[in-house]
Amino acid sequence: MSTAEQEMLELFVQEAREHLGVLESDLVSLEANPRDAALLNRLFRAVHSVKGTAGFFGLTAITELAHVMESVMALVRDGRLEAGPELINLFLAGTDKLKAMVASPENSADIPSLAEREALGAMLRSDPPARPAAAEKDILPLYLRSFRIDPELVRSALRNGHHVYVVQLRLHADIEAKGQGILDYLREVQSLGTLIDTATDIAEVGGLDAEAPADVVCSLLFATAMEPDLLLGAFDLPAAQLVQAAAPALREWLATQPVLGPATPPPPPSPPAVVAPASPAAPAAPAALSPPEDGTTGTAHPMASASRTKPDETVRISVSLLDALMNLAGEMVLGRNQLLRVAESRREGAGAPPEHEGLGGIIQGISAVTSDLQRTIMRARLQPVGGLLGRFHRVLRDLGQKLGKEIQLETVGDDVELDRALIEGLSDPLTHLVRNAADHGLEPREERLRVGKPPAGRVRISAAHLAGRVQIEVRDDGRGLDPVRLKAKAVEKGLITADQAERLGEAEAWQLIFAPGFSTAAVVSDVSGRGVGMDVVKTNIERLGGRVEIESVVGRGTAIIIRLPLTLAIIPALIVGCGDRLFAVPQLNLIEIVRIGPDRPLEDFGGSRLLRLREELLPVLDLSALLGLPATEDQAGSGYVLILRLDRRRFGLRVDQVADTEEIVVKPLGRHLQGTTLYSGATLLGQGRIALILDLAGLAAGRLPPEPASTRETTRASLRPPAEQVLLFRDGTPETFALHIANIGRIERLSSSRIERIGGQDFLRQENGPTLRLVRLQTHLPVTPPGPLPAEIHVIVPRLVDQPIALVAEEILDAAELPVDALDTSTLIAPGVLGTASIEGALTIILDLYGLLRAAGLDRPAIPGGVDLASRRILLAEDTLFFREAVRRAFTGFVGALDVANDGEEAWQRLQTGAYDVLVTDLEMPRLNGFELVARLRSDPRFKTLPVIALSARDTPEFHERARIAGVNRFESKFDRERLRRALIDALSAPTP
Amino acid sequence: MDAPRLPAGTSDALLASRGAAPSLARTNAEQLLTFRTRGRWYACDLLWVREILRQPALTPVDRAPPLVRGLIHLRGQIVTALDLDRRLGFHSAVAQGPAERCIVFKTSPELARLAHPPSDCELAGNDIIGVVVDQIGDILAERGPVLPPPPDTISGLDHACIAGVLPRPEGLITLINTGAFLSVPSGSAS
Repeated sequence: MSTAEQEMLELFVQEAREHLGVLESDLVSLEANPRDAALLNRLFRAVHSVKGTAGFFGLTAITELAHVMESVMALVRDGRLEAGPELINLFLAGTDKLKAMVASPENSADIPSLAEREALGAMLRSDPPARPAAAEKDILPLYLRSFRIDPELVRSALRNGHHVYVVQLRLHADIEAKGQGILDYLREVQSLGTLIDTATDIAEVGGLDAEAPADVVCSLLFATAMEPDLLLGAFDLPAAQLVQAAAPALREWLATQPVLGPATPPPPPSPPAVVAPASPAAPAAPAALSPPEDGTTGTAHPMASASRTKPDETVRISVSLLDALMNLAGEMVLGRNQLLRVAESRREGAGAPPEHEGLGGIIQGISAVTSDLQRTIMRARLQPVGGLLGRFHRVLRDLGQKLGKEIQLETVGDDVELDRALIEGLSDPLTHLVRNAADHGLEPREERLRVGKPPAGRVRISAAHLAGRVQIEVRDDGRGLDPVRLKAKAVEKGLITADQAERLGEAEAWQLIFAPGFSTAAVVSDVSGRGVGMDVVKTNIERLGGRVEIESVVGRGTAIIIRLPLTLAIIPALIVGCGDRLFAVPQLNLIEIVRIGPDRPLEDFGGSRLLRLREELLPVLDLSALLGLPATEDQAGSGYVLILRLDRRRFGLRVDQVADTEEIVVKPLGRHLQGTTLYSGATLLGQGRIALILDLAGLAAGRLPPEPASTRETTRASLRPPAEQVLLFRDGTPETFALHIANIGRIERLSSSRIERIGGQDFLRQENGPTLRLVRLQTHLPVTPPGPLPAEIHVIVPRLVDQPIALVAEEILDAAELPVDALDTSTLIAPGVLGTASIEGALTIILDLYGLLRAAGLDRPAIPGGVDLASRRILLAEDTLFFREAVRRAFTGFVGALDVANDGEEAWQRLQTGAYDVLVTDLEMPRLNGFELVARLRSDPRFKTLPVIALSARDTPEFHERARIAGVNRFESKFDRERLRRALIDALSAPTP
Repeated sequence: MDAPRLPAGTSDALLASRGAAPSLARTNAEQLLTFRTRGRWYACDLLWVREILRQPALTPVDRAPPLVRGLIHLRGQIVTALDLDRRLGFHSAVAQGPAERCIVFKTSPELARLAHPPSDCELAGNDIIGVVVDQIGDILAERGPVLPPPPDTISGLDHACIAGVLPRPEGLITLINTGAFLSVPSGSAS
């Protein structure tokens, strides 16, 4: 096989894999919605595509199997066969075979698929004989009947005055013999017009496995503005191979086709298309002609890839090429770092010759481009995680059947993009976690019913970007991890002593499941639980630079939370020194650096070292002691302490020197070092020196005092929705401010010389965008007046604000979680302040962005046009204190009354007694969530017409859709006050029916 | 044991060429590279050798398994350098001197690309492994007679790594089974 052919085959494999992936997940969805026309169409097309392309390559085994599947699917689509679990099983089995064949197309003929074909063939034969040809088929000229014609494409072609042709291509004589590739050829064809369909009739050429196969003829149905002679020239074909379709005949046919619009519901059972009773033995029947029933997939073409982007906007690129680019970018970063260092030392030497004067600027430029390049390539490696998550529908379906459990899977965040290396690396651990959840986590049906749970167990896999990291969760609503049982088991297995078990806290007991040789299943099943697994899961995740956390409540469920870096390849790190060694500490974990000296020594506290930091005592580990390096004199009184964050804990790490921050390229450690717990990798520094990357979890393991009880309480509580994320910053005063992440558009670091002062106000001009008015917190809030601005400042540009403004922050501290119920609204009362909270041990002022703007005279109140709001009553259902407070303030003085319910259940209770004009509700709440609340309201005649505005931080199409289905009138994202006010006015001014 | 009198420096020509004379390696005739560490002589199949580094800069890895001497930067890649005796399981009281030479081995993809890859080339793995030695000796064109490895009397010895002993007039040379040598010994990973 030539290289070109090989490449084409690889493309086929890639494309076919995608189709088969879609097939698999759609088949599982089909089971739930056996009559979903869009789904059936997509399934049909996926199989059809695989069949068609495989035909090009003469892969008979694939073609034959796909053909039977396609034929049976046509019956299902036409409503002549029920897509019951058995049929779905057959389809899935067929898909598995196709997958195996596609995985090694050269050997596809050796993979037996007779059983699958027979079984599917039997379904075909069980179908009553095909009815006489439906009317619309007769309308079409004979030569068009082998095509699957999308009426929309034909309609638009005719509307544009295009001609429709049938082009007969001999694959060998017309394409290959001319030195072209089939796929390239087809691409070229598509550049000349619209390819409506292709059909390859294998039977006509006497089968593909004939000894000297006649040329395979492929027919293209093609619409273009080109005249026949021009087209013949372009295709380089003899005139006999081109037939122009008669436009009147097409119009006549079109008249029988329904006009599809995006809003029209799928028409009820469309006129059954004609399916010839095809069987693998006699594949002579032309493919059925049948218009797609649904507009959404109507324009997708079997030859087009699964992606919905226009073909000319995307390019397929091989993963190895991308990896090579990534590596090169990594090397370039190394070089850049070296260059920066050289430039630095020259400047310090002050001996730079005058001709090198501009060098600094050039290096800065190159440095910026390098970073950009690296980021861009990194982005190119991102893939939506949905493909990975979708796979678990199948996994759980099979598992459910095997275990006799009913399992519902919910996936959230399918659009979240991850580095493909991460996606690959996550596949096995996630599979294991999902299997575990189904097998060990979920109770059997009877047990669930006994404890009052719904019979179907729920598993939820979610992916989200959180504070610069990726968080993947596998949650079940099963029996939860019982610390007592876990400990007993671990003692029984000899993993820990009874004494040790005694001392383990709840969270530490959960961690036991990660111990090698631990299995909680009473019976070892073949699904999961041979005692290998969870430890491997943990190792694999840690190898990816991630962490695994457990949250569990006995009787309510377990969540395994995986936190991963956005990318594996390059991370910002602080380079520190200990003796003559250099180490890299991931910036992600670093909170701050404290220099210790005679004025600020480490305290000795019963043998362990502590650092007093802002009225808090932090345990401090000594790096040289951990590494077993000889002690230098006076370790407690010199060097630096890195304040590090690990999960929810903070601790200090004493090092001798702090060198620099660098973007480091992470290189995995060799296999002989895989067992070491102190390092997560190694990197090359600018000077060519090697620095080991410290694995903070490994460093701290077992060396820190147990988590304080208060933190453990938060852990227990966090099966509730996640805490709110805030950004902590300072503005030159001792006060720490927090702004909700939802309020933040972007953060910029800039030189304070760029600030221009006009009329007593500070402004910042932007290259692309309006000039920003700078708001300094100290002028509007009751805080300590600061000194002059330092040379470099940060500005925080809020989002969801009408005015172009930015807040000045001298120092960005950190992103942190605002504990759900920790907001104190009584200690500090001032305009612009929502309240105070203790975050990470420091008293923090939580800002009220809109209040702040009002205090700064920048607030333009919305004018309620002609709606009397003063007499209206609003009910707000919201579980987080932060948003309760924020929404309450946004409406105080705006409407007559605002009552607040803490969750859906409470809102429902309040609605029973109070009369409300509008309900504003969060969607994710404990007890009764927003969807359930609205659904309940809509089924009650009293509340059928109550205007409901959903307010959610999850501004995804999926949520919009779910909200719409539940009966929400309007969806607003958290939290744009102006939009919410307008939504409210709209809702109140709408005529009540 | 006395060091066999192998003329030192003869194989330094090898140092000059990266990739250890592929033209020689491709022939079917086995060639053995000899080297010395802590006073003992060893030999390994030259086919597995990628290159030899002179006085490499070793970055120590604290708290690593004792068989790891350190890490070496090799043109943008990181080599795990092993301690020969510790890997073999010899309880040597003699501390190894400064790292004079490091024999860097091919990875399994590199071996697989050879015309006649060794049957156990999978054992070379994907990460680059080297071994620190004191001195590089001659290249032997043939094995000659091979004695079986010493009996189990030396406790802790990883017998899989030793293919046999070459009784040379100059002294005994321990023949290393390179594939097994490069794999991670069981029980050392923790």
